[in-house]
Amino acid sequence: MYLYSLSLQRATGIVCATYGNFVGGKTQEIVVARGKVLDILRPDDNGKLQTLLSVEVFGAIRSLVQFRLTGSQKDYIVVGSDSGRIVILEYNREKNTLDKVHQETFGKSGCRRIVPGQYLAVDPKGRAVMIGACEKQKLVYVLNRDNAARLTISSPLEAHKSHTIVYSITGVDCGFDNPIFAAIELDYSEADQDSTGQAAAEAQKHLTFYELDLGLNHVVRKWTEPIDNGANMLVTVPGGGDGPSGVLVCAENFVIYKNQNRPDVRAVIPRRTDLPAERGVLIVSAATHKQKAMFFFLLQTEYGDIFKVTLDCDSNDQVTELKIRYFDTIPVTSAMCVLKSGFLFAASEFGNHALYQFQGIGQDTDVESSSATLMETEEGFQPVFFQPRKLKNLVQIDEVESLMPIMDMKVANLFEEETPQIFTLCGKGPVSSLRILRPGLAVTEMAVSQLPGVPSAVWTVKRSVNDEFDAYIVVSFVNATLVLSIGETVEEVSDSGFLDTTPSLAVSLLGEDSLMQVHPNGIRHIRADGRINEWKTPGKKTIVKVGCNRMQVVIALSGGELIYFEMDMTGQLMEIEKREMSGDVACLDIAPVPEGRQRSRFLAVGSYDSTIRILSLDPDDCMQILSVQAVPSPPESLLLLEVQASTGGEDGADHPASVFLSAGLQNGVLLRTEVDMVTGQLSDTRTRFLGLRAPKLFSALVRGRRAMLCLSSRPWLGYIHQGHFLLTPLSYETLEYAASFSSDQCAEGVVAVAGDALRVFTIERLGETFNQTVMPLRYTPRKFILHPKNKTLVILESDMGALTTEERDANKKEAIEAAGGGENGKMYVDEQENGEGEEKEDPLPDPQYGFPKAPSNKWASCIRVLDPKAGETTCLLELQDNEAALSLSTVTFHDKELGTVLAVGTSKDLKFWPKKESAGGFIHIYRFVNEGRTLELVHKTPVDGVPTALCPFQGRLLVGVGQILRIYDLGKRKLLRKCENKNFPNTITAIHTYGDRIYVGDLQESFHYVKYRRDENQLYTFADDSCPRWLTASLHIDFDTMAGADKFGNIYFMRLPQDVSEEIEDDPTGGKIKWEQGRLNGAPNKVEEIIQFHVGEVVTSLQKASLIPGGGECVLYGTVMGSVGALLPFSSREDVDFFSHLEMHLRQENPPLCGRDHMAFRSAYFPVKDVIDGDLCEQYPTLSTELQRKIADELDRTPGEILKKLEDIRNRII
Amino acid sequence: MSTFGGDSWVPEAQYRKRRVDVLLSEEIPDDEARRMSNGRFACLVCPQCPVLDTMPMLHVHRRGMRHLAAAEKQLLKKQRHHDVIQKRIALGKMVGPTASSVFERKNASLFTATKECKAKVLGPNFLSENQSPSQAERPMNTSLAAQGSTLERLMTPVMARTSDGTSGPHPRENLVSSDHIEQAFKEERKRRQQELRSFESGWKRDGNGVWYRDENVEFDSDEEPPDIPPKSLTRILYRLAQCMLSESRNGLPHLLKNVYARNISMRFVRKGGVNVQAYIITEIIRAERFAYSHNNHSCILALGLSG
Repeated sequence: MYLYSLSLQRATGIVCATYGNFVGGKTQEIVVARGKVLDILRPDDNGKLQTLLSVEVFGAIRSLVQFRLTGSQKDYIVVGSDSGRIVILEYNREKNTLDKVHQETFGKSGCRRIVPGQYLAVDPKGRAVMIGACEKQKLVYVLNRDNAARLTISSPLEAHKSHTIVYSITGVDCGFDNPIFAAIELDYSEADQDSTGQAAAEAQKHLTFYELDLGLNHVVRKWTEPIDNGANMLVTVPGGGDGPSGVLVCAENFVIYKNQNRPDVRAVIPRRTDLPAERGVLIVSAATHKQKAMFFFLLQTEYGDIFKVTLDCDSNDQVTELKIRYFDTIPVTSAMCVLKSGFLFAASEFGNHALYQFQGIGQDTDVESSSATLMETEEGFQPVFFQPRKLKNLVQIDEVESLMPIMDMKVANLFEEETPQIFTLCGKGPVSSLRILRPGLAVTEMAVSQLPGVPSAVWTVKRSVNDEFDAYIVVSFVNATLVLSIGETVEEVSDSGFLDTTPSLAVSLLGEDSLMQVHPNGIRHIRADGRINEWKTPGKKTIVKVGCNRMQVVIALSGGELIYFEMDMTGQLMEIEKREMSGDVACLDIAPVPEGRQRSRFLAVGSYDSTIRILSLDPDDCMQILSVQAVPSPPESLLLLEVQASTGGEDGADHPASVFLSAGLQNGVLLRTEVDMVTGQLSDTRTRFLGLRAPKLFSALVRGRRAMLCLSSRPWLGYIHQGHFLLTPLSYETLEYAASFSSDQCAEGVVAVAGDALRVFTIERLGETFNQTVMPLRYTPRKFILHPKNKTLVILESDMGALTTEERDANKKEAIEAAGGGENGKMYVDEQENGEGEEKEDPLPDPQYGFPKAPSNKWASCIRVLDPKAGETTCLLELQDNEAALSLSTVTFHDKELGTVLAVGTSKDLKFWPKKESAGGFIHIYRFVNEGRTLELVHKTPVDGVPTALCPFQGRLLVGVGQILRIYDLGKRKLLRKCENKNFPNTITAIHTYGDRIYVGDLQESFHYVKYRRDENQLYTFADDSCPRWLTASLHIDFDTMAGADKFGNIYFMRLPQDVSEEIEDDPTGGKIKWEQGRLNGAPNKVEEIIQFHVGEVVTSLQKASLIPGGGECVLYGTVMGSVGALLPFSSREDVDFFSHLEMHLRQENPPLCGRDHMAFRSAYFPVKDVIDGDLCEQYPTLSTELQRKIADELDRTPGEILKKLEDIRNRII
Repeated sequence: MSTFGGDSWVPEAQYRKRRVDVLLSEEIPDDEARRMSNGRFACLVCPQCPVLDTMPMLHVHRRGMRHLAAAEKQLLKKQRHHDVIQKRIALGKMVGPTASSVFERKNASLFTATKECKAKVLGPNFLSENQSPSQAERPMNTSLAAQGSTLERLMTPVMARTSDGTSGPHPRENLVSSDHIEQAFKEERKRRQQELRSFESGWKRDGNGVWYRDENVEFDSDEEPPDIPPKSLTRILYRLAQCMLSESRNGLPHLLKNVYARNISMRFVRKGGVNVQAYIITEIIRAERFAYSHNNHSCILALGLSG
């Protein structure tokens, strides 16, 4: 078996981010690392975040910083990754790529303890960069420029100190003095030696300054001082004339300003009033805003509260006061970027990322803690309290959807649509959600209005070519035409000059400002001054098809006669040429007039004899056939799409101007052919099946470029995104006819008719593969199942350290009562914002403010039955007594009258630290009542461990309780244990069954194949894996094969050898399985690994599904980083050879950006086996033309063929 | 005009060649060689199926030593096959539930012996219980035929032809009707399923067929032992064995020898004495399990499951 791996949705979570001026010019961009993907984002004029570039780097990005050489206008990006190399990247605006400027190797690859890559810091003046490991090693590279003003990088200078753990490093701003780097370090050498543990208890964190002596070219430890043991982060304070220099040390509950030879200034971080006393407050992310005259810091705590930190200085640049003022609360971020344009980009730790605009900079009276008012008592420093309030200084203007983390995923067609839906459980705690993914672009419906009849076609038309917006919507019915004028409202008009007593065939703008209506009996030309010219068809012939652009009109009469009109200098429509075709014309199209030209050169004509002809419209060879293409089925619709030449810029890589002819055939296939600009020859045909109906093609505008709208059984959009032509379905209902639409409410929309309604919509989030429907959940979702009969989902949610809803309600009531007493004198509550009355009406939403915190051993958990179609929760059961639901399954017990019941495994008082333990568990049995919409508890059975896996098996229930696999039967008052096997190594996390074979997934040791013998009532393990695998997801492929994913980011398939399988199945005596023993407590037989692949992200779910109608099945996976990928089995050996060669060449010619070798990355834990990396293959179109040709030559093909192959295989998956 | 142009000798040569081919091919039977789509010939007699370019070459090959050896082998095989068919047809004459197999023929004595013993134990009328006379009268060919398979339909005319002249099957010899057997199978299967279900739910059976609870398994407090009788077969054979023991000890080894055909050691039987009964029962159960696991219907029948 060979598989083709392809990411369908790239990772959506963000690990780290930085911002700077990478393109050059005034704008600022944000660079985000999403695990193994590097993205450049930029907010556009409307405040929407657009992705400029997205590159897969085939390595784990661990840190990012940006720097700028003094006097330069452009920033560079430094990437710390697991490649054992430091890489400096520069954005290339012309090609829209990231270029590797420098790549310096310093150590082994992989995320290791002492190999640098985890931390990066730059000198604020861009003279040096420090790259650090978690332990011991720190290297400093000096950055400079050579005579040609190119960036140079020195050999590394070592700043190592053994036996130290590093928590954070940063560059200290000291102007143009020698660069200094600060680090929080902990020396554990003594603790290592001292077996009593006393030294370990007394270990002390230090703040250390390393100075790079540019003159002597070496690094020295300049200064070190003990700091709070809770210190976790450093923030640079501007210096060198802009500020006092030094660093802010963020520690638990405190922010401390520190600098060499300066006194410490310390302030306490305000606490939420409802925070338990034993919980500290830690800063998790920081952003600095610096203007000419002032600077401030935004620090976010682990609860999501942002504080604005300001420093007051005296005349000697000595810090006198440190003030911490409550700013706003947003979901916890992994990075914050304050852009000069007044935006705050918040890269959320979990859930959607957001772009905020500053409304103020927090200068009003808010809770403030200051170093000046810091009070020390016997119990320590006096805390300052505040209460979160609604957003005041920030306003959210855009949201970027993120699936991170995908906790579970299932694919099913519950909605009975053309393609199945992907149901994902996403997020954590308060931002958890169920997201339904559908392949296709999201559509925002702007308006739907009913029409008096069933329309057959719709057009939009401008009054003049210079108009920005459309003036009329013209709707054609069977025997009438309706004209709607677009203004403040859309209303019917009769003074437009259009003939309304006849159906229309085409309506368009002609010349500068005249309109044309083509109806079956003629052409009506409406001049701007109101004069009307009418051309009548000769004899009894009628017009059947029309093709037109701004200057040219071609009509096809019944019988197959083509008449070509052109507009002359006076604005008159002149008949130029006629041509008799052999039969009736099925469709025709003229490309728009190219920029700076008089007319378009080509006319495409489709005939019912299944041919498409290209005719010339040049005066020299007017109406001569240039080329003919036979197609498998009569064409229904044609569209000539001119792709303008592009050289990078905003979006899109280099590509020369070209004309593409798209044809929708009657068998539902879309055919796309390139038309030679000179000869009109057709070449490089690509086909794609779109749906059961013949696709109708329309031109539309997307981001200012021409795009194609195909209406088959669902609408599709063909457009160019980052240099690639993409054909993506829209998540919208079947449409009959469409036209692009532009008005001041909706700049780039589409107006379409479907049934008897007129619909206006816009297309959102271009470039995405899936669109999402989000349904919020209460706690972190753990697992879910689909109930195919009831078409409902049953979801388990549980959170540690959270309060149940009941407790929260009780607490709230108490708090309100207490606040009524007014005894809390320490509270600085902003009365205006947090008045009691208002709070009652509008409580702070959890997704933004988080849950109130509870002691960490408290669990809140619930079971939810959700009807995805209506999007409503039909039943929600909160578990009591500190139980947490962990596993679930439906099961139909044999000879019991209950029917299908739900089994839920829960654990009581579960804790993970210092050791995973619990006070036992339960298996709840629920009955579905009320048509499966609600649950009713039948009974609950205590078990002696945590039931981590459940699975129905031959009318009974298989349960994995810790190391024990058990079979339970339904009893009257509880489940009855019928059979067990205690010989599993660690914890059973997954159970699958097929026939009487059971596949048991162990937490640490991969799969075990088990057979159940009915006559003996025994479970026998007969095969297992020879590799220890920390299983995170599993999937049953066939009788002998299982697919699994481990926590190190690998996917593997394993298969029981055929002979072993037969032996096990055909053992008549049954003695073999009973007495056979393996070595070292293992099973007697071992499975073989047939597929190995390192994904690079922890895979949390595996599913078998086919995402296209009639397509082959592939394995889909969802990861913690929120990406969705697919593994497609190859069906022919030829394809395998082709793609493995392509992959091989790309590995050589296109080494990954962050310096990790591609082969080494995909073989990070186990050598990659029989999987071809589609993500690498899909980088082929991004290569330079020469390189593309070189690779194509090696493969004995043309670049076009390779692109076609890539497109084909992608289309086989989605 | 010939494809070869004008009046050359080529068409004539071509014709001659074709004529030779035709003549040569006349003496080769259809099933011994095949003309393939590319115009070559494959010899179907030789196990490797050699491919030869022309008909003369095939002809030469057919006279070769290797081919002759293969042909002889094939002939023998055909003969054997023919014999088997003949035998089957001949056996079809014999009336009995398992006339289809050679096995039955071997065990014919066993079968009659069992029948006799059964008759003794259960009385002479036990055979006609639960079946209509018409069913009992109907001549039965094979157990497969009993299920109304196509085989039966195919076999019937042959039967009629071969049994010409002989007297029809005796009604008394038509011991067990097919329905009865099927019924017995069904019941036994059902009983077996029930038994397995009981095993699954943790019930065990001791040597006397009494159910008891497995101590490692949980039960509902009011759960009753399953009401599954010990095997009816066992009961019958138990009595059968008793009767046989009392009558003739010499008959027993012979019976068992046939019953257990290959897989049961005889040493138990030789021991004789009181324990023999228990041995017989356990061995019968084992044999039956063996028979089930191999789906060996004839063996099951030989064991007298029909009771």
